[in-house]
Amino acid sequence: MAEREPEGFGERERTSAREERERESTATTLPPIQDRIGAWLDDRLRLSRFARDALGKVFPDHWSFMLGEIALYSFVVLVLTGIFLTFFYEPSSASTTYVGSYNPLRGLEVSNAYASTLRLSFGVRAGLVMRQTHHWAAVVFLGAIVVHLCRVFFTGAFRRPRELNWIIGVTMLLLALFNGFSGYSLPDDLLSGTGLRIMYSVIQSVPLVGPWMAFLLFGGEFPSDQILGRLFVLHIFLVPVLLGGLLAAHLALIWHQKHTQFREPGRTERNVVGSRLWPTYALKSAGLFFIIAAVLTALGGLVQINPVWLYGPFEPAQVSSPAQPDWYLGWLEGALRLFPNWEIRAFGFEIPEPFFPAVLLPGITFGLLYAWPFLERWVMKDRAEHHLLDRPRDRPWPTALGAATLTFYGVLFAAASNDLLAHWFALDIETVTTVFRVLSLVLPPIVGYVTLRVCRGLRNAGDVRLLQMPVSAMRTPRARRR
Amino acid sequence: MDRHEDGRPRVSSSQRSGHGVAVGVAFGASVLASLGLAVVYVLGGQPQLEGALLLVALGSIGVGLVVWAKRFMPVGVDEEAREPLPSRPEEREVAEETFEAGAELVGRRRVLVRMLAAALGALGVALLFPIRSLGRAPGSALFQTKWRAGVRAVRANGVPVRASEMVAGTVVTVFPEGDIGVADSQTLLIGLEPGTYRPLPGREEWAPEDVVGYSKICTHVGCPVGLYQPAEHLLFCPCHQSAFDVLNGAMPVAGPAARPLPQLPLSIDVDGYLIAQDDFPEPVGPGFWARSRG
Amino acid sequence: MRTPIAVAVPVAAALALAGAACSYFAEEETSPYRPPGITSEVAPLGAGRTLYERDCAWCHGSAGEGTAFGPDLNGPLDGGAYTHFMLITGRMPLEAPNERAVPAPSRYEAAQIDAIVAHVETFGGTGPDVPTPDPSAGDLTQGAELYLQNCAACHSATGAGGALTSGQEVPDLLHTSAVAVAEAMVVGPGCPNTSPTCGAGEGAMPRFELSDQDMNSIVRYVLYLQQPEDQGGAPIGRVGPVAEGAVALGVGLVVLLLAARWIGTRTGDRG
Repeated sequence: MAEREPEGFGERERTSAREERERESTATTLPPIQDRIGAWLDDRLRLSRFARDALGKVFPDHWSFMLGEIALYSFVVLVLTGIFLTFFYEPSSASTTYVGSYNPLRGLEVSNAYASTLRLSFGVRAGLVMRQTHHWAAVVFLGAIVVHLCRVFFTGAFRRPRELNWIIGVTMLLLALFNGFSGYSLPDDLLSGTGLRIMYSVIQSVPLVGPWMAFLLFGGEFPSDQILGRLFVLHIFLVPVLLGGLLAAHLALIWHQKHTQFREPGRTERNVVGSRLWPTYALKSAGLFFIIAAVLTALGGLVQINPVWLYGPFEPAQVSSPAQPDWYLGWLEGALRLFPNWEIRAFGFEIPEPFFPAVLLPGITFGLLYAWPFLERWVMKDRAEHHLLDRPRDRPWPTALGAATLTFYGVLFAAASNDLLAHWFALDIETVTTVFRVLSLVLPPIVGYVTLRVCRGLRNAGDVRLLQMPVSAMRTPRARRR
Repeated sequence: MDRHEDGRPRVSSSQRSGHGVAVGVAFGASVLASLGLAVVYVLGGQPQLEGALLLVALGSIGVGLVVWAKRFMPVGVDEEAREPLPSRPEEREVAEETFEAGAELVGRRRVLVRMLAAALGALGVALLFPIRSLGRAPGSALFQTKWRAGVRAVRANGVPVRASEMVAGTVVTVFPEGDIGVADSQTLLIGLEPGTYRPLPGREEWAPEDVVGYSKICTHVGCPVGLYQPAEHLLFCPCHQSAFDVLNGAMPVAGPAARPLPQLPLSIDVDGYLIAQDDFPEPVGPGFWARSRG
Repeated sequence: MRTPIAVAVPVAAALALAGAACSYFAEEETSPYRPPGITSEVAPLGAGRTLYERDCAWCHGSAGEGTAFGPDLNGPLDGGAYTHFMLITGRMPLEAPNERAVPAPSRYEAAQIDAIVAHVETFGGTGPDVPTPDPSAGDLTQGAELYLQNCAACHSATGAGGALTSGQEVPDLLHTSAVAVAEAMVVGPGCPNTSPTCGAGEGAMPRFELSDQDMNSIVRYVLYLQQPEDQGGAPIGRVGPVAEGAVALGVGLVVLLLAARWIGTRTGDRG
């Protein structure tokens, strides 16, 4: 909204700023150091108006608006620990003899990548804590993203004018998924190498171009000697830069459009009520960052994660069981375990079975995620701007669909542990798999229906919290408008 | 929490000083923990101690900051107006006019615009070509392994396998001699009880002395099928639980695999070692578009 | 009913969990199989033959010739190692003939086991004798290599065990003895549920021809896996990403969500 500033405006500004500083300097005895720095910068950058606006900017205080910050600060921890790791990790498949301090593997022929990971874990002070904190941060990072996505979805925060931010967010989820997978594949251990083999075969299953894509991306037949180097560049440079840029855009959009808020007394579509950035919000947010860093580093030192020295180096003819990916790919792994052995063969060509659960399903998943704001707008015929959030109960159909979808992916996620469940509870693995197959089809509609009824019940029961809702309120078949 | 109109908490001064002490103690604990971290590092480092001290060092600062904010700062009482997000119509018009004025100047030379588009398009297409450098063409790589007629089957340590060693119930992973560790050639040799082998048509001579050979690469998504259950003669893949019947051409009997494990035709050389008669009759591993056309 | 959800759901869940726990943890008194009509008299302990006649002959026959209830004990795999393994790992004797042989506390003392084994060896089985592994003579790295090549697929790289088809289990290796490990590799034991009479090569586990040095090395590595150097902290079961994800989400993320709830406001609050 730039109005053309009248000529000589700058001079007038400078003069009044200088006058103001002179006035101030006579009011105080010695200007403190921050005044000096502030003045030095302001003299060159005209920061005062921006500073006043920024420091006074109001942010709503609701706790669920901090979920994105949990993701953001986990990412910060990832970058900081990751930088440390890059100084010690070697992204090379070339063979070497491990001669480090971990006795059971000393003398074994392993890749440089694996040997450097062991050296980092056992031979570098603070190396193991850094590596484990990095991995814990990655796993929590994705959890925070998913929880944040759910909050945004169930409160309708993606509606106009925030569709663009939703798209940016879904893209960041994809990038985070990729970086997590590539990150834990870098040590070249037996477990992650098996995951790479699966990824290669999934790419290979794409019709027409599958083998070409696999050969191009990996640099040849599996296991190529180039994949580690490529994953390394993507993992430490390309994807973090993209994530950083998208993050900046994400935050800039929130800044520019102002955050949404719940319907509470005093909140309207035309205001933002909360705390100012300075000092309250800044202190709270900084406090959250330190708490996140504390939890992640505590896990990093106290709870073992990804003990690659026990898995051993990756060898193409070896495998360990149980074999699962990190949790955020559990839904894909479960889909691969549950989908029946159906292949399409015609005219000498075939679409192999993995294509359906591992390419088509994720494609549909992310396609729907990207399209959701536009789908919902089309169905609900809602083109208005929304700065006030809805409670999930006030959006019963999207909430029910969201709950059903979460249930579906939750069942797939649980199915990825079918062998562990069979082992721990002395069950038949075939039975466990069949049960999950049935649940994946039957449970989502049930959960969706129950959610719909609960939403309506909550609305019928008046303004009650979920746990205080009387069960009878769900009995009424239709929502009564009060 | 009860708050004044200006947002600061409504607490007594003794409560407020209590909060202040709490924050101070937290920051002090952090200082001690940071000192502890330095000491632990100098003494050689220990991950669990480092983790616990980091928890205190970082967490105390965090908790202190939050208590400071909640107990001493105004919360939740500030208000800001939202300006309408769309630009005002007249602003939009000015922006559009500014753009169109320039676009009109450029667009007058339609031929040039089209040639520029052609140039940029051609350049874009040309710049895609280096992608091809990322890898070689699949060619026949997926259709063959390193097994050839007469090549001995050797263990990972290079020792060849005698047929007489492969008694019933034994299983061993082998590679072609000279190509140990080549991923696509990994093969399982399994010893069967006499009379139990039920060959597919044409494969009667593929399992000499009741030793049968199958590709170890699962036809689902390529994991090594490392689990062998001798009683049921089942090969079981740990990744997605496909099971293959060893007596019956490694047909999949459970799980998401849709095709059997390719069988390696075996023979015995003059010294009693197991050798391959030929490469696998079909591509090993997971499926792909033109697999049947190789 | 006007029961709030806050009461109804937890009560229902608690009842369901209690029911599941009761059935899961129900312990039954166990005893070796006896054909109907035989009372469980106490025979004098000591001689292997006495113990064998009392507890084993019902299914395996007085001379180890096998019956309709159990396999013979005089085959090409039978002998000291197989019998010793079954007894020290508590897989034998079974409570009922068609039960699955699973690891359990051993029913006998060492001297009794040796006596029974000596008696079974007289039946004429040509299987290997009880091995005498010497883990300290093994090479730890070679053991690791051989273990990862041959054992990790079923028993897990960390020795945590796993699942097979038809409800069968791969036991963990975390509480087993050196001699049991050696015996298992040499004999390939395990009587699967699907076969009423198991015989040579019909175990749940394959057999491996190993040199003494290889066997010692693998045994040494398995013993190492029972007490590995968990330098990273609490090992949370050593089952990999499943447990790690549970901790990350169930502990890490939950703590951070609670922290967010503490830091921020709830609807209706004023800070």
